[in-house]
Amino acid sequence: MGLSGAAWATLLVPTLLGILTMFLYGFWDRITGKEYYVDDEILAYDEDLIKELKKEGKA
Amino acid sequence: MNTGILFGFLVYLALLAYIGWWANKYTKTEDQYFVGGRKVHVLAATLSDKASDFSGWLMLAYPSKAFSTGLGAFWAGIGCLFGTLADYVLIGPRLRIYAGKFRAITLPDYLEARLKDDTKLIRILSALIIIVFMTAYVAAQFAAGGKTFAEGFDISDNAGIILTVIILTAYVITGGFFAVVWTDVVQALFMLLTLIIVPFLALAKIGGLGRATEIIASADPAKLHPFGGATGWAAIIFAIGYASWIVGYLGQPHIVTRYMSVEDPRKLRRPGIFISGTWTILVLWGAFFAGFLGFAMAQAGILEVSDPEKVIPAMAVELMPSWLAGFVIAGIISAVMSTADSQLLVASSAIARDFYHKVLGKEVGKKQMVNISRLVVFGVALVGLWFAISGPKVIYQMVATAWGGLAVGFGPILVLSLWWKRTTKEGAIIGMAYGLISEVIFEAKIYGWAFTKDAPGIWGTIGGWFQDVPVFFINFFITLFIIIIVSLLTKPPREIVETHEKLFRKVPIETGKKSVTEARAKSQVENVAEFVLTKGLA
Repeated sequence: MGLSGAAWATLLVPTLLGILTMFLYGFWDRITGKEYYVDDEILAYDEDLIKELKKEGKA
Repeated sequence: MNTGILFGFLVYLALLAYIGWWANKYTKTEDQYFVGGRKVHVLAATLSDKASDFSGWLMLAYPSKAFSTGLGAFWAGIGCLFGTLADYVLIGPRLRIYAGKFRAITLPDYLEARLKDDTKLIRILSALIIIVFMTAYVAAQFAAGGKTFAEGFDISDNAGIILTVIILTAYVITGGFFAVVWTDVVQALFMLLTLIIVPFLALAKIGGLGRATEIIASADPAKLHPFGGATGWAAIIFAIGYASWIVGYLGQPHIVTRYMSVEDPRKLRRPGIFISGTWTILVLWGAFFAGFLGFAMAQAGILEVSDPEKVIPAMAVELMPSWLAGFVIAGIISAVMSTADSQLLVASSAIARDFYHKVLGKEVGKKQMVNISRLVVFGVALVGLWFAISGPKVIYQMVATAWGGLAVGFGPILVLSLWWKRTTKEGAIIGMAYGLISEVIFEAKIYGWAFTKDAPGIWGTIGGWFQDVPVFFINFFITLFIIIIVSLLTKPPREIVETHEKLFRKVPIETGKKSVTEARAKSQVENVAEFVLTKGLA
């Protein structure tokens, strides 16, 4: 017998809307041509960790 | 005890032990113990975000709702999917930007700095909300772990709970945030595999979706109805009741702390939302169909289910070769542990950093602070253990109660403080105090986790209007309203308004050729996608 049309709609419509939201937000910077301002002060990596990673050649 | 199951599970345990040992190398300061030095790879941060979010609820409680309610339970999945996306759109990047600017390690750190609160009241309220509700949440995970061990290894629920606590506490104490994040990544993959394998095996066993729906329709046709057979207003209330999880996402400290740790806020937009969103869609479909088909199997007499919350472990033990069932049991335990580890860490940060270090002003060395945090993890785990053993052991209800308290306590103030420069500390203090007190009173004394007409006096009348809608859903909007009104009646200091405006100014995206190092920093897929987009849009 399978699932009814309404049942498939309940499963698929929100899922597709979710995927659409993902793409819209994911590429919003490309769409508008603008993004958040970020500098070293905002990135604020832990100094001891960076030293440790540099010592191991990972940073 | 089945040796095949034990073997699969031991392989998984060995992997956890290795990650705990490796992460211990990079865990020497409080910054590293609680947010991984703010340099966690985006793939790890986003997968860890989802593994921490989806707990025993995903593997035990949500399938049990699909088992007992049928298709209507999918509304809970819809709420979780859009809650996940809302976290990225409304919280993630902005919280990471503020966390870096203020060097915030915990959510109370951020709120105190953002709202320039010198009274310490926001920190105390935040820590109280975390301690009260997070300990209950940890207890729910311990109970879920206990049930899974009980089903997989044929031991008692309480013995399973104790086993969960021992394994979990060991690696959280050893490795801190790095251990938690990287074990979460492994656990996210275990969960994904489990929730893909189990429904397909069930479909094959029962003879296809058509056969399964026939069996379900003959047992209870309402289980195939999108609103559980309800129509009109009742259907809307039914859908809201399940989908209400969405607002809770905005205030879960163990989830949003992941965003504070990510190496670059811009990466939460891309690839962050794609990793989290895709993983979420796959596991929610898998968990729903596991419970849904599990009911058909039980009706057909193929499966024996003693407790609907044990439907997935029961399916694994019945349908799979024992070594594979061992991995599935590991997948379920993964879901439990990946959430409980993050919650233990957040609860410990609320006591060690927010109370001991910041409120009481105890200055100790970096290493000593990490050791104090480890002791606190152990203490919180013991309290959680006590609640798990003495509590009701109904995970859906336990999680909903804790989820609600955190949602109301943190959700409204987080969204407003990240998006509205006029938010004031007075608004935050009154809103958060209302959230904490009202949730405790409504959930512990008046309604339980959902409104009901059976509550005493006037509360029963109000409960009748919102019958079965979770208390936190309505309370979230009341708290939001309170914070807005109080903020409008008070005035924020000029410098915090200016900082907000300055931090969130948008700049043109960088164009032009990239250096080899920049190109190598991205994955092949990202570079190809970027090239196609640039050329395609040119």
